[in-house]
Amino acid sequence: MICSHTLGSRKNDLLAKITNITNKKSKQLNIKITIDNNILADVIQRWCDEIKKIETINQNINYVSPFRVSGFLTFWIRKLKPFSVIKYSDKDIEKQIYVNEIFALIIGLILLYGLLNDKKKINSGAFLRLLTSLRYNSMSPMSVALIYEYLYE
Amino acid sequence: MANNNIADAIFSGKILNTVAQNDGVKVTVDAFDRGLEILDEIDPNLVNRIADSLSSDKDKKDTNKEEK
Repeated sequence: MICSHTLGSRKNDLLAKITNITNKKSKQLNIKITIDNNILADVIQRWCDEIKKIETINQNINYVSPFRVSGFLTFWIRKLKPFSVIKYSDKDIEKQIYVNEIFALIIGLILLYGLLNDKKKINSGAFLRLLTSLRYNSMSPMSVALIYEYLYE
Repeated sequence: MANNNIADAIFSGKILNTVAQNDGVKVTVDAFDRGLEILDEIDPNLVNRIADSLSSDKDKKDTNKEEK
């Protein structure tokens, strides 16, 4: 089933792709993670609903902006937390605590780069500080989208 | 009268439509692959820096506590 006008892929394909990227990047982080597919499906559903809402409100646009698309995905991963670490050492305890925020940012950024198809580097210092803020401060889907927009421009 | 004009504008959707929204692109799963390639090319160590930043943040907090 296609998500929305903007998300022109089947939900199952999006789920498989996010799983694939998470597995790849978890190796780079040196942690073994488990993914709750039901929660990840919920993430994708909420992400689609959020984008459909924007499409309904802004009927003058063809597709929702990349900042919103990627920001909304980051928000829902961070909110519903589909990932957990199953194997880590004592020195990796932070990765265990922040695993969902880490992947929320990585996956969001990967999608943003892919949609913008641009090799401009973002302000990575602010991007890293966003990690703790995502976990401990209040955020809305739109606020994450706006942060992405300001980090990029 | 003025209040009615505002209500009419809201009900007609004009207020919401004044919020600027840039047009985007259609999202397919290929966008993730393309994004992964770009990220690996321009900032291959970002993932490691994210992990490192967590430890250094903790160290900074500990240092601040000691200073106080």
